[in-house]
Amino acid sequence: MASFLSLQTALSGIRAAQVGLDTASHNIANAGTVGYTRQRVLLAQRSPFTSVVGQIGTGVDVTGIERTRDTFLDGRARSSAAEFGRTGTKAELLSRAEAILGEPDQGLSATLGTLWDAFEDLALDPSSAAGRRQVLSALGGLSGRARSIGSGWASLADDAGVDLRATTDEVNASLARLGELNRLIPRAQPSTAQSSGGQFGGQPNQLLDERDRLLDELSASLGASSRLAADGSVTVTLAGAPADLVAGQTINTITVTADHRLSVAGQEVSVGGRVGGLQGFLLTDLPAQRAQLDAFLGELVSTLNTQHAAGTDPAGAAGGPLLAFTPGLAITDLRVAITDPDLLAAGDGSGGDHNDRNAQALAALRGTSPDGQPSIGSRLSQFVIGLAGEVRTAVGQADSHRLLNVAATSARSSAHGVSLDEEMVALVQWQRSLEAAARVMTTVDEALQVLINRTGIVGR
Amino acid sequence: MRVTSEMMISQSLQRLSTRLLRYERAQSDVATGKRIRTPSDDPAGASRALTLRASQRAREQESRNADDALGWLGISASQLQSAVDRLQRARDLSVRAASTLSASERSAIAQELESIQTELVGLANSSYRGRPLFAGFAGGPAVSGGPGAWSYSGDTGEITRRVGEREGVRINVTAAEVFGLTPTDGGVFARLDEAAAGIRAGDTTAGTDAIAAMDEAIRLVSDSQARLGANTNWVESAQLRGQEVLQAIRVELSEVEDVDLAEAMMDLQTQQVAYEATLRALARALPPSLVTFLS
Repeated sequence: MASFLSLQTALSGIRAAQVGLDTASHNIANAGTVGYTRQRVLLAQRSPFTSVVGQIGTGVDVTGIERTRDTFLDGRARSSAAEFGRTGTKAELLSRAEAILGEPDQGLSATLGTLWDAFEDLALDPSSAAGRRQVLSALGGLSGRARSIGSGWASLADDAGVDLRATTDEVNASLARLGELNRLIPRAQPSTAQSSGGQFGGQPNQLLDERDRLLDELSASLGASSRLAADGSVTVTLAGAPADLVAGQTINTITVTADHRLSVAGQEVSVGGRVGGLQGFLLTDLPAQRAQLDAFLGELVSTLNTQHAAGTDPAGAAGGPLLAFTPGLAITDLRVAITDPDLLAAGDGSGGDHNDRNAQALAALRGTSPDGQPSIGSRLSQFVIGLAGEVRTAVGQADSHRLLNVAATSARSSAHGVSLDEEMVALVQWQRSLEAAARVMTTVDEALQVLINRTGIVGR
Repeated sequence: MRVTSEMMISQSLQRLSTRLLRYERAQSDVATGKRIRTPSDDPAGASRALTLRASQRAREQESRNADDALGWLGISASQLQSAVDRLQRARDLSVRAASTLSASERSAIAQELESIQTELVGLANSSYRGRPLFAGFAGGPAVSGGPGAWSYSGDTGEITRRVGEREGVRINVTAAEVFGLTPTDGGVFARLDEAAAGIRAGDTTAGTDAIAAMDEAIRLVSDSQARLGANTNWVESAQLRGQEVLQAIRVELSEVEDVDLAEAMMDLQTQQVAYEATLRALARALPPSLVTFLS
């Protein structure tokens, strides 16, 4: 036994070194794979051979190949990804909504300024056909600008809705795959596999990496949290949901209604992450801005129409409405209600072909408001600045969450990622260890050769 | 801390893109010359900028209104000056008519008075850019009728021009005010009728009556002239003030909206250097690994 023991010991060393080399090359090959966790060979001493002189070591066993995963860092990275997903989406969408407004150069404020100028020019020469046409075209410019903001926001909402659906579909696909993994992983786990009498499988590292990557996606897009069980299966929960999204192999998918509400198992839920950001924009942020702009346009139209109705056109008839819209739809439906320039009521009813009093009164709306409220222009700029402030806050929040997410992600990749230098060292180490073990073999071999060929020759 | 390749690459890219973003920002600052491109770049500044822009537009419009007002006032004043000249001539003729004259001389004077009257009617009905000067808001002639039945056919409309934020200046006078026309009285035109008829008929008091009437008419026109002159001064000073305000607004708007070019250029330079340095650092840090040195 004793003389062959070293051969066995050396063999175990060679085997361990081979596994080490395999693992190092696997690590190197996957250095750029998303969600890959660095793998490490676990070694243990073989149980010793007890001889009369003491216990003699019998070599090394490869007990497993494990992932260097830190679940605490995972938790941090996921919660920061969820926050960044929500705030980043909100900031991006709000910025786009603001860009559609076109302030300060191409927005409503510029077209409104053109309208006031047109009224003043009409007051300079109320009987001029050119001045009247100028007012109509300024009204057209204003209503066209409002409608293009309306349609821009509508298509932004459509985009966000499509994105919401697509992301939810991805989430549902991930949930289904996690249910599948919950079946595969426990079966492959050594503890459960052994206890159930199955064959030895080792850690299913690839499946575990896939599971963790899916959980990363779920937190970034949904803000869902997860709980790992000892057998490697995962339970995915969503705060406020009546049932777990994934529990064992049971899946509760997320359904999206036409009005962008989400529900799980028939009950409405609120979510975080990217989907939460999209939903918040569609249900809260954008409708709030639309309502404000609608209210502003409503006030603008009623102020203009009231003042216009106070005047008379050249034929002596009171002024009709200048602008019109379907109630509640000012932003998409605002249109010029007056088509004949001769119906513009520039006069105040006291007669005279060149009576300009009502044109003056319309032009005076530039700086004042008849009801003592702030002027139309300052109400518009209040709205614009309100939106700008929200965008700025959202962008600031998104930036700070981005930094937190970057920090958490790098902390995690510091622990989980592949360091090529480290792997090179490991390669050299395993190579040397293989060489040394091989040398042990040749040494034992030579010793045996001496024993076999050189000893006992005396009796020949 | 363990540094892994993934971490190194992702962090380097992160830094590089942050640098590039700042570089781009600095570059577009210089290219556009604007500090505020969307209101969210600086909500407080954008709020001021919007107010200032509206104010700038209003002041520019006031300046155009003032130009128009000065045109009206100038034309009206020169028409009134002609009227005073004509009335002065009528007064001179009346003085001559007050002394004893032959019938043919009186007839010549009466004829000239009548032609002065026609000229004054023409002045009263003159228009500027297709619009009667002295008829208020009315579109037709200011004075109509004929001998014995002169009447004012305009209205009392006061044409005003906004030359300041809340300053409306009246720029017109009506023929009724200038020539003393009332619904019951033909004013200066009736006086000229009476003078011409009296002088032609050899009425001894006609000349002296006409002198008094012409003095009164000249006083009335001069009153209107004085009012136009005062309003012209008002418009001119308002325009001057408006231009100063406009200048101040432009300066302030530029302070709020525009980038300080020297500062922006410096910033661009700094960002460019920083970006290049990041690239260089990346180029140095990324390639070497143990692989290079193991042979």
